[in-house]
Amino acid sequence: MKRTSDVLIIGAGILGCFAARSLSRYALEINVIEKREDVCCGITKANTGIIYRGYDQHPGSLKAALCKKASDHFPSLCEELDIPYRKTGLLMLSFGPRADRVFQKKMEQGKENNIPDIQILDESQVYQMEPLLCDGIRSALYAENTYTVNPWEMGIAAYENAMSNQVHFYFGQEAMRIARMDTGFLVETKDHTYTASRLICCAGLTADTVWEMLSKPSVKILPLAADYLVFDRSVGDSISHVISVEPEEKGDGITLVPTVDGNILAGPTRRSIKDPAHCTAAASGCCTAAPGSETAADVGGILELQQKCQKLIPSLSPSMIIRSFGAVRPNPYYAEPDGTLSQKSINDFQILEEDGFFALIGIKTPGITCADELGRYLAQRLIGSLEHKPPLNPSFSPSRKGILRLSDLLRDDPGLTANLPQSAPADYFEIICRCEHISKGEVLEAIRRGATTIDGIKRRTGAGMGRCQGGYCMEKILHLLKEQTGKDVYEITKDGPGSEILIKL
Amino acid sequence: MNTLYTDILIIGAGAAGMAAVLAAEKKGYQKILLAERKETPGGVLLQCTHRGFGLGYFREDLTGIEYADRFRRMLEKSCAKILNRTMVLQLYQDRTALLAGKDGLTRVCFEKCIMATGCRERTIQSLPVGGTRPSGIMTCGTAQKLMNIDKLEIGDEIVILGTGDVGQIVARDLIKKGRKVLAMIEQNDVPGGLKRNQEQCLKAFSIPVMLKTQITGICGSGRIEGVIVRHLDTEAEEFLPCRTLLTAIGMIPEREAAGKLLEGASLPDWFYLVGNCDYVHDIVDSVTADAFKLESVL
Ligand SMILES: Cc1cc2nc3c(=O)[nH]c(=O)nc-3n(C[C@H](O)[C@H](O)[C@H](O)COP(=O)(O)OP(=O)(O)OC[C@H]3O[C@@H](n4cnc5c(N)ncnc54)[C@H](O)[C@@H]3O)c2cc1C
Ligand SMILES: Cc1cc2nc3c(=O)[nH]c(=O)nc-3n(C[C@H](O)[C@H](O)[C@H](O)COP(=O)(O)OP(=O)(O)OC[C@H]3O[C@@H](n4cnc5c(N)ncnc54)[C@H](O)[C@@H]3O)c2cc1C
Repeated sequence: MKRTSDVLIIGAGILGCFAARSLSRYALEINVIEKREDVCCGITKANTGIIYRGYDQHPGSLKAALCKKASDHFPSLCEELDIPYRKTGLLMLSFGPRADRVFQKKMEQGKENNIPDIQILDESQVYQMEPLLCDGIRSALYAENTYTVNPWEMGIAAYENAMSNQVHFYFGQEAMRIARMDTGFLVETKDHTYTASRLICCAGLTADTVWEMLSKPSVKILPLAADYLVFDRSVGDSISHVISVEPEEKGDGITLVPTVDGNILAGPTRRSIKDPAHCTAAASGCCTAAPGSETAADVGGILELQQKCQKLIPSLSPSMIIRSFGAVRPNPYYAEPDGTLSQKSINDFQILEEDGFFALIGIKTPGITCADELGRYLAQRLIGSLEHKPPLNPSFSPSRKGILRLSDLLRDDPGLTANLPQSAPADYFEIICRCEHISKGEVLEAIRRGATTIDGIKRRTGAGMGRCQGGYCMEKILHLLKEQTGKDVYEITKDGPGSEILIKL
Repeated sequence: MNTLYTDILIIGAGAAGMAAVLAAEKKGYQKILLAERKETPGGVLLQCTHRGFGLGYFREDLTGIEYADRFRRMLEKSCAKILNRTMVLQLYQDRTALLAGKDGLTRVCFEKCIMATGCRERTIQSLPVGGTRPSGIMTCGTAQKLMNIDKLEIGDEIVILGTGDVGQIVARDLIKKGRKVLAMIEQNDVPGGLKRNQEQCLKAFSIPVMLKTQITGICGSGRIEGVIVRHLDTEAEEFLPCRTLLTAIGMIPEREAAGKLLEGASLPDWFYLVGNCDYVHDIVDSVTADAFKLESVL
């Protein structure tokens, strides 16, 4: 089947979703194709989730400009899209003279970037703010206006808003071939073709590959891996700020994040992706994704994080860890036409443009922070490239409502007089996820909004993110997905084809 | 919101909660409220189709389901009000509790509260295990529930982490259904579990056990394709292909609903823990016995 639009976006991570939302302000036909079964299954689902203030971005860079704007506007963006977030502030800790010097430099950078709301705190101020931190802290650089967010919740909010503004999303659609035509572009997936006069690539880790389907190599991604730990909510109040260490020696850094859900996220480590050929599993030839491949966690990394966490906060016991996972950084390098790569990885955001083909390649930190600004920036450039500026979309609405959460209602108002959905209020009191108190009503709403997998429901509701990691709710959600989608229970997957939860012989 | 008043609130209708009702009634309490989040009373017993229950209390070798049925019948004759599909979300110092269920939200005011909420299983995600996070990994308890209550199949070519009682019983259940249990992974130098289970499961079904080994990695995109097994003696690692990984690596008392009540040096004098949420019991008869002891302290 052939699908035609004015703009085609490849990739529905957070950047693709915000690009789509920004463009939906205009009266344009917009299609988005995503190879996975859902939005935000790539880099967007595994990262640190900090909304940075941007004081330490290189002055004059696009990153510095967008990051400040994004962080200024973040609370109002969250208001508009009903995204849960937490204003935590960020404390970057110093344990020695090197860090103290770094802080002086960062203060100056902050001034240059027009960010006056950062300050250096002395030892006693730091311990007052975070009494459980280990001894030996000399000072801290404090950025009060730092927030934390579940990045996928941001992406999903933009996706839902874009959809309600008439953007079409197609899943299971991997761009495999791109051709230029007189009138624009033709993109082929395994079973469909898409044409559009403008093309945007937001393909995350494989953005360079997609770019090269049509254009010469320009920026290449050499991925770097990372590991994370999640601590139980019961120790979540061990810290109340994002804590980060400016190390005296390279490799001693770590970041601890109080998450929106009340857990602590620790990480990331920084390591190369091991050559799968050296791995036991791959060597035996029976396995396609061995430890060492993309998104695999590393035991060494997990143990390293455990130690660092306990060193920084002695009371934070490894027995309170509920999950660990791997992540991948899309590290960009300049590529010469002959294929040689630049020595250093590129620091600033790279937005390539070639006759109506736009690409975001290697957007790493602070890509979450800047998602909305990058979307706007891209939209502006794309609109600017059109012969005639299109009229505005008359039915555009910037707002979206998230799924109503029982746990939020109870926290705000234990007497629960608040306005529950009229349709099926009883559903809102049947608990599906025992750890996070997520109700059947929330799960049904997530399915109504397009979740088709166990992970899709997890990202939309939080069910399965708690300490029992789905031990209780997975079975209940299987049944609800079966009921609502009409699928056979054996067809239901964790995160797309091939990840069936149950297998019948 | 509804408000209910009761002398005793019992949370959880497993073996412990059901026996607690009987104990409270014997003591002379007449207003007893039993809240259970599942459809019916019984708790973990309902997923146990195997025998080995009741040798102590009934002097008979019953299945878990039969053991639960006997107590359910006694419960029917009792004066207790039973709220099924109702979860106790939170207990408060002022002797009230917040309940959520099919009837909406309810506040319960009580004199005494017995918590009999059982335990939850530790998950592999809490261990330092590298690799990917594919499907096909679950705890033995979840697998048992899916197989024995929902009558669903979970998969084949199974590796089980942990050789305790639950792991062994699930391994036997699976083999009886014609599934291949490729190995049980155990870090100690002897298998875990009761002697009885070692005889009736490991020996009787020749289940392969890999002693002094740990799982350090998970492989597979989509569904699990194998695990990396580390031999603790030699530190050598080997790849063990499998399509399903079940874990039986311990239970943790589930006391979330008690929240801040547990923070003090001692429990409030109106609050009791019993059964697996007090400490993890191997044998249901000892759960029942503990619950009956409540009669003298209530
Ligand atoms: C370890 C780590 C920590 C980070 N921490 C932070 C932080 O604290 N704060 C912050 O602001 N930023 C942070 N970032 C950066 C941020 O996570 C990324 O910039 C952002 O998630 C990138 O989103 P994306 O949409 O480009 O990528 P993705 O989410 O990967 O989306 C790309 C999508 O394209 C799809 N796709 C790929 N190829 C094709 C194809 N051929 N056809 C169709 N679809 C395709 C993929 O399936 C995917 O869904 C961090 C990043 C990492 C790696
Ligand atoms: C696989 C397996 C095999 C076993 N084999 C044997 C055996 O062969 N012989 C033997 O004697 N023993 C065996 N046991 C042990 C025995 O079955 C258990 O120790 C006993 O049944 C536990 O009873 P309990 O009431 O403490 O917990 P549970 O049975 O877990 O009951 C707790 C109840 O509380 C409910 N609940 C929890 N939280 C809430 C809340 N907040 N609100 C409302 N309700 C809540 C739960 O839904 C559950 O129904 C086995 C156990 C297992 C898991």
